[in-house]
Amino acid sequence: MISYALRRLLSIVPTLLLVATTVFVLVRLVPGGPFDQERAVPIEVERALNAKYHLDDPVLTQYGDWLWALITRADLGPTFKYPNRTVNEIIALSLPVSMQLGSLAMIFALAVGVPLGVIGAVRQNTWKDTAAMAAAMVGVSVPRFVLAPLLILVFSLNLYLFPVARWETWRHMVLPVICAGLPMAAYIARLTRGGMLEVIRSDFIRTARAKGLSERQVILRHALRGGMLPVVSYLGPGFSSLLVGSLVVEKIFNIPGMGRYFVEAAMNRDYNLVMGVMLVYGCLLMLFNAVVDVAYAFIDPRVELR
Amino acid sequence: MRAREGEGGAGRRHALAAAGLLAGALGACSGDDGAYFGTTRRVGKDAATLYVNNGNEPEYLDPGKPTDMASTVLINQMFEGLTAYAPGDLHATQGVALRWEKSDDNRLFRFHLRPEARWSDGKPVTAHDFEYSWKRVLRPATASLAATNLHLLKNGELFNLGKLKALRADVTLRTGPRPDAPPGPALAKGAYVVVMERDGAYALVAAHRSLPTYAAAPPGAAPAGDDGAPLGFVAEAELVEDDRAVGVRAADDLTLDVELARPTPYFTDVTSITTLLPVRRDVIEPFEARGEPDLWTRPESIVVNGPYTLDEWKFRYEITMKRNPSYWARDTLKVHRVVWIQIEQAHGTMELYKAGDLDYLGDNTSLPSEYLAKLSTKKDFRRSEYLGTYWYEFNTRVPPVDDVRVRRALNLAIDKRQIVEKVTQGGQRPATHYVPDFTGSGYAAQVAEDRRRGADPFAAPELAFDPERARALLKAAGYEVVRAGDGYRATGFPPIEVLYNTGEGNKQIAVAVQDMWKRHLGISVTLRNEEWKVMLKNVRDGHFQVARFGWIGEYNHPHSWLATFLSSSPQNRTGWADKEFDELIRTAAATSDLEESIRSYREAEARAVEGMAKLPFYFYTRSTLVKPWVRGFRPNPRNIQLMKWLWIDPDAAEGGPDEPASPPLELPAPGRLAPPAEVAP
Repeated sequence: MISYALRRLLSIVPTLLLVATTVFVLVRLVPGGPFDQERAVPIEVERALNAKYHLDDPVLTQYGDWLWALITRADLGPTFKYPNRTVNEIIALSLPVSMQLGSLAMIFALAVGVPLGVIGAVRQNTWKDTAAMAAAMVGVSVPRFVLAPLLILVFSLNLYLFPVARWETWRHMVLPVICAGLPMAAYIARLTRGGMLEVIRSDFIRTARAKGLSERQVILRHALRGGMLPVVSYLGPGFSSLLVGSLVVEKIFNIPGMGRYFVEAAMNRDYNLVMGVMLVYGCLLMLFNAVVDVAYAFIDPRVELR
Repeated sequence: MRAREGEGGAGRRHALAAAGLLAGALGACSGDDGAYFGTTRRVGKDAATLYVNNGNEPEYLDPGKPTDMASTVLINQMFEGLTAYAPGDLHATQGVALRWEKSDDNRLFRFHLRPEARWSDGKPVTAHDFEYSWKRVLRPATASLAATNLHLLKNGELFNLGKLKALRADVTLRTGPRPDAPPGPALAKGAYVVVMERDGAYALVAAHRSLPTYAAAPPGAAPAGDDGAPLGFVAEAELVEDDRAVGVRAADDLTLDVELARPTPYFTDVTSITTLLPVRRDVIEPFEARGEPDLWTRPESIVVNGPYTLDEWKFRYEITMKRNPSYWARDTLKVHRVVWIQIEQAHGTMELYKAGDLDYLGDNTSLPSEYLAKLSTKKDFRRSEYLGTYWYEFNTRVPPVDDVRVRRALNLAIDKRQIVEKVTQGGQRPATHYVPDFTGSGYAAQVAEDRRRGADPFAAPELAFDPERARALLKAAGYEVVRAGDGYRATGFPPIEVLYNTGEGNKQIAVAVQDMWKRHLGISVTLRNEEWKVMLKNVRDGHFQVARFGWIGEYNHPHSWLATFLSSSPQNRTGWADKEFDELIRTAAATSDLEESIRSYREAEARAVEGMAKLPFYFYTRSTLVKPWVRGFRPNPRNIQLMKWLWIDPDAAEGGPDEPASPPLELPAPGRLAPPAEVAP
């Protein structure tokens, strides 16, 4: 088990290297450079700027230097757009915010999605099931950029319950968390229901019922554990997509998270920032997937890790 | 400053705009039928703290470097130049300078500094600070993207480009780029040379004699000799940077002498722009020595000389400023703290404003055009002229737009009134020429005067929308426009392509243009949008026919717009070069009589309009929202409010007088820097 986890973690390294190389090449292939602007810049000034950031070195040297700084000092380099910050600093400032938003949204999604799914499965084909699944359908279909303005309109501008934007007290967090978590809750509800339905008909559940366990115990102790498997396997990619998908939520609620840099850094040709953000995201994605794989073994006795 | 990418800040936008749109649409229709947009009561806020949105994160808080609006707005609160512009009409008032002198030919300037001016750490502000700051911006190693603003100093451009050097020691030049090449002429230590070419470790140089003298030339004196022919090669190692050749020096602690490369009648206006604000050598140099030249602007290290100093800087979130305790006019400041919130989306900003969390939308927020009609009925809505022109640039090197008749025809076939009324809807003025009618330095007065006499060259009927005349011009250019069905067809006219940077505002205008050219001239037009930096690259490489641009004046003088037409300007992307135009601009700049100078600029502009290398659409406006309790707010065409003029009347539910927090201190008329008296023979 431990050796599996270690191997799983080690396999992240070559993949990350591949990501880094691809991004490094792609971002330099896009026409236009970081210092292009409307007002003409004398060629000498541009040269001095390029020299300052070592953009005048051969590309392979640049790549080598970048990699060396990353491996030896965990240094992702300077940004071109915000000269008084480094990429490390920007990520250190914004990633925790995104993580906070992502975790809260995840908790919200599970807290709402799982019970809905269980209700749907246990009360299959009753009005409760239909209602829960209809709600889930709507939740899955309504994009966040529609949901966010609706939430703001109802809860901020009409009911004055929560602030319109920004990230300060818990009251600021309520709407963004709901907005980020709701589509996911809907998806989790559908997954839970599907998983539960499958498990409920299996032999060990029948056995549990035959033992005379209460319906409550059957569902919560036995069925839920198996029924959660699809949900667990979704959590890895789900969490990463929450981090990236937070772009929309972060933008609308003006939350200083990392999501905005995915698009922005590329637009600004801020090479180092693009690479830094991609690497962090890649890293998180693979870490979550690894964690999920390991978690699988705990939940499902049938899964054996080698 | 970078020209805005289209009215309404239409720049790089993506699908998120749609989200904001929806938020705004829903918000805007939710019960705000009052005379004001949102609350009119200021609750729970300190009466001396102003809350303003500043859009996005500033790139720099170092005056010498930024080219973006967010930085410019903030820096102007924290640093004070020789002059400060007045609220409203932007005329130069006292900043660090108390009074000034100039020479008749507008080339020499002398500023007398205020003895009580202090930096935030209590040290006096001296002329040496200005000298250091301006030379620092020009130093090639600083690599400032804004350095071109100081090319007007004598030798400023050559120095900035790393071409003006001095000799480290006496040297004998070589006739080739090798140590063993035959010797050429000898030059003395300290002599100035201009690098003509670089060849490995060697440079081909010419002697440079044109140095600042800070003295007006006696009448009839011959101008200093131009750089001669290349003399020979010298090893790069023998060359040193020597900034004494740059035309600015501190004559003493409180006197700054400036010698300019060319006559520049608007130089006092330039002294308040961001690039020319002073910084402190002893603060910056330790950071440079550590290889972190951009870190001195963090709150714990920054030293400023303006009304406000940096208190807190939360990256991409919020910046707080407080009163600078050492500012010479500290007691006149009625706003003691300014909180600059960073919200990029206009809709989000409007919601915060509505809820009363913002006192002013800020200089860097554009109202979405779809709300302008509704908002413009509110009492807290402010619309003002903005020193900018929206235009299309033709690539005059490629057919069919290499023909001036074609360019004129394309201009006349656009109904600009329709575009501002139906498309942009921001109350912009349709333009038939390039310099905004309301530009200062005497330009607006000349426009008024010309109109009064009925002789405004740009109000002439031949510049007005006229499809008939446009078709005649196209015919003259060899493309007959014939009736085809309901419309027209220009025989033999190749399809042309309009290039614009991605953005909703730009797209709407391009679509309107496409339609007008099709309808009135029968020309088929394709539209191509590109992301901003890709477009800049393509235009620079000459891969375009018609491209969307615009120009925001860096200073309040027609020269800013017209200089982009000069054949020598790096900003001239159109390839249009006209000797007569260049000559007119040169004359206009060298004329000491202000009115006459402006008339020459107008003449030059008429010449540019004839050439029609750029197709003007409209002069920009800015629309914004200001809460009724904000006083002293006067919109200005530069669109940067100095917080030092503002104050808060927390109990006001109605808009009130716009008197600034303290009356601006007027700069006296300049004294005369006279040439030395003629010596009797």
